[in-house]
Amino acid sequence: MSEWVLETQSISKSYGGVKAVDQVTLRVKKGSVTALIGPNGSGKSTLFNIISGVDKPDSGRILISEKDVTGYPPHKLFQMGVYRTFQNPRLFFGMSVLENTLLTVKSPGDNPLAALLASKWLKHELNIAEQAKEILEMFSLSEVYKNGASEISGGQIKLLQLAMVLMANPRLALLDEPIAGVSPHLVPIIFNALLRIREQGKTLFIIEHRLHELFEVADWVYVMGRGKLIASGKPSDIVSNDMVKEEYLGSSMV
Amino acid sequence: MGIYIILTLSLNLEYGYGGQPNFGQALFYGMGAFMTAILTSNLLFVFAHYPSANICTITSLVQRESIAASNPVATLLAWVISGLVSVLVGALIGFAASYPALRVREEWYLAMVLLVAAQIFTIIFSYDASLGCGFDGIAGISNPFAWLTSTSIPILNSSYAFPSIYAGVIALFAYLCYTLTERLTSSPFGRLLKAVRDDWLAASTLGKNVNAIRAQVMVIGSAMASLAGWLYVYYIGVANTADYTSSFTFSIWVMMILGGYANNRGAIIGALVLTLINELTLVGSTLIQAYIPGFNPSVVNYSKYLLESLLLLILLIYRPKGLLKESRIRTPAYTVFKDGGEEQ
Ligand SMILES: Nc1ncnc2c1ncn2[C@@H]1O[C@H](COP(=O)(O)OP(=O)(O)OP(=O)(O)O)[C@@H](O)[C@H]1O
Ligand SMILES: [Mg+2]
Repeated sequence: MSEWVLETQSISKSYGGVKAVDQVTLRVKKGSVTALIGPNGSGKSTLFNIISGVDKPDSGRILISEKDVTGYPPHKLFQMGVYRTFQNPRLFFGMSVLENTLLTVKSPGDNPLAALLASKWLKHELNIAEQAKEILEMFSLSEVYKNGASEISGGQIKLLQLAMVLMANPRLALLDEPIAGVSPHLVPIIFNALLRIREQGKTLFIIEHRLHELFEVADWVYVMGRGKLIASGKPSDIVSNDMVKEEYLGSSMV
Repeated sequence: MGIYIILTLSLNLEYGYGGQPNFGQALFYGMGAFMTAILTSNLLFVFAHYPSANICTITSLVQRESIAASNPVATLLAWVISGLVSVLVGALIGFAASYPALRVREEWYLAMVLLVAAQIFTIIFSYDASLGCGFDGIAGISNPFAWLTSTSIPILNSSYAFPSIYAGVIALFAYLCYTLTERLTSSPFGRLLKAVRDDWLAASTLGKNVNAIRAQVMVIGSAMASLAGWLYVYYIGVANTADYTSSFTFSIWVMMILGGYANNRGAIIGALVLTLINELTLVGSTLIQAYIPGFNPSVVNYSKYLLESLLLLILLIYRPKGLLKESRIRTPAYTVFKDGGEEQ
């Protein structure tokens, strides 16, 4: 087994004339927490879109545990163990917190023929429900489990996103700004939830603007600027890197 | 009535749960109907050992009716086989119809494709007499229990017993379709359907094969619509393109919207309410005709659609989500929680 869960090789993607991602080559170590930072519009989310199959790269290759998965559709990549969250949470807002959580797991009752016979999926359903219950409790969501995902607070939405990651039990989780955008008093709570996921030994690849928190957990940091990878290193190296400071940290260092 | 219930349940499964706007419901319904009429006409002759003949002639029509009135084995065999084949053909066309849906992500292209396909279907079957006897349609499809009148069983051989039996059969199928859709939608599959309906991209990043799910729901929905077509032909006695128009599809949409999206009970209520309105306009017109000699009965048809449209408008203003609200997918997953997932 390779120690690299993810490798991208010279990934490029343009929108019209804009080079959103330009020749990005990077890799993510198994079991690590890897950070991806960079100013607004530097191409971070676009890179995640490409890794998760939501977008196709113009050129370059993607490898998951050494297997070339370039051009795979999102559901195939999920089956390969790639989970991603969206910067603007894309939950199923018409459905309950519990249903959202359960949707991250494949069920034998997903097949319409099996769905007709409860005996084919009931046991599995109860098992994953027990598991969901535990995870929702862990993330303080068990009070709202039957609420619609549109009826819970912004902070709870962030927590639900993370609960779903744990439920899905992926090989690699791509988290697009899991903390950003919540009120300050919730930051430590969500950060704790992230720590919880790391404790489970998951490989995390995280885009986040809240560097202070991020650098506490990250093993490795990649920095993007205008579509290009401009630096990489340990968090301690990155904070002292002049080029990074100039591009990014200078203005908004937390 | 039961037939409308089946059609509304089918559309509600496709659109209410699956988000697939099927504007060609009449196509699947009509395909089932014509498949049934063509097969029945030919099979009756085979089973009753008649030489094969043109199914459109009056002679063959009379022969069909006489077989149906006297030969239970041939009649029931033809009935069952045409039903099975219709459902199968419906499922196949549903699968074919899901193909453009897989190509174009925008659901409303599917709506247009199916609307046009349904129009082409009625045009072809109306003008090409070799397929379905043209504008006259394929007539002489008797009630599958009409032969009871030729038996000596008391009560059952009366002239009102066999229509009641067949009405019971239709009700039974409607009940079966309700159970089927209820089971399908209160399962992990129902959860998937709604997920794909609400955000197919997010669903696909959760490992759901959106194309396969859309194809599955179209296959099931169109098989149900074809089943309804099969039941209807044996009820009304003729397969005629006039019964499978886009305005008919419109009525089914009104029934579904009236009842409420993604609610199977709502679908039944919608079908019942609209059928009631149709019956009332019919009764009303008969009364008017009785009192006003020069009254043009086709006004009724227009008034029916006018009423439907009016109802739809009122509904969209006051209850845009229909009479019953969308029901949650209630799998037993909720029971592992302390309060068992009871609604507050
Ligand atoms: N679908 C799209 N169509 C056109 N342009 C796009 C699209 N997606 C991204 N872009 C452009 O690509 C560039 C990179 O955007 P991206 O969202 O990847 O940045 P980001 O690093 O995630 O920024 P932020 O920190 O604000 O989330 C931007 O210039 C953006 O306008
Ligand atoms: Mg972004």
